[in-house]
Amino acid sequence: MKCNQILLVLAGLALAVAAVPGSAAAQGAELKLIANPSVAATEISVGEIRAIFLVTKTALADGTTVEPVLTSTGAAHRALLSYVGKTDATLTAYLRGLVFTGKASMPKTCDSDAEVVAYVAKTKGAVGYVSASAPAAGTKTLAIKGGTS
Amino acid sequence: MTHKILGQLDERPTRSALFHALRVLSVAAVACAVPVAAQAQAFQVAKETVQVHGFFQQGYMLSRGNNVLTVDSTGGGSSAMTDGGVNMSSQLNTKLRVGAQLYGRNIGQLGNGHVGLDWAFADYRFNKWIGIRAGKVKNALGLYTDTQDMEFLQTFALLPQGVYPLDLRSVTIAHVGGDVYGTLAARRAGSLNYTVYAGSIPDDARGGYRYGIEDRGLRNDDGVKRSGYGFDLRWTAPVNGLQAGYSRLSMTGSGVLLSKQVPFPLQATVDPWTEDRVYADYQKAQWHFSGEWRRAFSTVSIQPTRSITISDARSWYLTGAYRVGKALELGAYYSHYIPDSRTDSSSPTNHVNGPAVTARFDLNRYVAVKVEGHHVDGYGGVGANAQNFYIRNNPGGFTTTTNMFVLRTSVSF
Repeated sequence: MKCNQILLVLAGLALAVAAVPGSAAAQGAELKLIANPSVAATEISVGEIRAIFLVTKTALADGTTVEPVLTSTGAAHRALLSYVGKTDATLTAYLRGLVFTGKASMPKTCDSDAEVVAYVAKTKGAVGYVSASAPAAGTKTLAIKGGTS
Repeated sequence: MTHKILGQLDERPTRSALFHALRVLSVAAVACAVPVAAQAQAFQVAKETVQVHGFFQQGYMLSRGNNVLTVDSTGGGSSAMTDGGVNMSSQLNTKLRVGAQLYGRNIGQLGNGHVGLDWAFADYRFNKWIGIRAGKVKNALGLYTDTQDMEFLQTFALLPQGVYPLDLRSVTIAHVGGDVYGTLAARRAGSLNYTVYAGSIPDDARGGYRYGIEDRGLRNDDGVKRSGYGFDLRWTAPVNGLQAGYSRLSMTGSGVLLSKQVPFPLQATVDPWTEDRVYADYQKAQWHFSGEWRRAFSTVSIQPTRSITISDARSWYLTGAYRVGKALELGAYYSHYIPDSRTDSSSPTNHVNGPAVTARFDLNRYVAVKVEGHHVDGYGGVGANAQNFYIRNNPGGFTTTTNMFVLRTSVSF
């Protein structure tokens, strides 16, 4: 393949990608961030959300140790994906990459909002997310700085 | 009668190919039928949670032209393409974690099913800026060196072979020693992850490097002793999904070579032996692009014959992938490899180039099937820089081009 053919293909792909709209803000309203009452913070930045769920951060700025809790499907999960800038497939591949090189443990993954709430309520430092309308007894809701939660 | 026999001979590769392909797909079918087995396991030891994860991959390779990667891939193809691993790890407290992984493979003539320690280390993270690891650790080198065996993480059945040759994985994959790593945040400018490491580089008696030495009519019974250092600087841009970086691995090595033509042992020393990588990766919505450039430079001196061989290989690739839906991802790449950049690369002995196209089917969260086609131009550096193509597997000589079909299933939990 000639160089100019490769460049042409790349230019076409770049244009296609540029046409994909961003969606993080639109998804924000569909997610409620919840934490175990042991977590001292009451609000959290988008950067911290990204760091917690990409397992690059295990403690908040106030020193509280946090443990991410994921869900496998649903509107809240789609909203979380927009915050971390990944699709479900690339987030899974990213986390498994850490696990299979020994750099992190796989976060707890729940199948429903109720399961997330139950786990977060009983686990010290746990931070999870549920649908905005989901009841979350036994947990505290974290406001997202500059966000809607 | 003659016509009938010829007809049977023509059919044999097709039947054999079908048999191998069904064998590969049966791995996916069994894994889908037993979903309970494909769940991550965790148990408690002295109040600590230990996670257990594993993977198993089965491939089938069919080629026209040359046999590739020591696999007897021409004719009816071959399913001698099996590998897998299992690991256990535990986060003992917020700063300390320990773990280990076993890995084994049987890829053509490589690996022979031997299971060895893939990685095993203790990791202590003081804070986000600095942490240390000690033990056997995967090298931070380019985008995929540390995860190259785990094809289930990638779009492709075979990573671009110019930069990630399956046969030569052990040359750069890990070290026994120590790492210092951390993240430096620069707020508006994104963040910079760094890893610096040093130690010895384990030898692999069943790997492609030793196989390549033997391909030249030489023997190396005592192994290749290597040590060195490396670093990786990885910038995560403020633009969501964009990463770029530079890595270097610098080693020295030595070993004794035996030849039937020379009545005394030859002492080989490799100094320097370096790898440089420049890479970028971008993910947005359903799109994923990556690219990487590699330079592998070495000077080999042989005593007492006083011969010196300088090797300066260059390679790069560009990949693009689009996830069509939850169960399907389509991808393509172009891989380019020049074994000796100091000489004319137009000869098929001095390049291995070509495109690949892939369809990845995710049958569920744990089981994937990939169907991939390759067109490869050239067969590269036979002998000193053998990569993918070996004389012993192609006794009738090499053809200029190779077309290849790869089917690969993976199960991971």
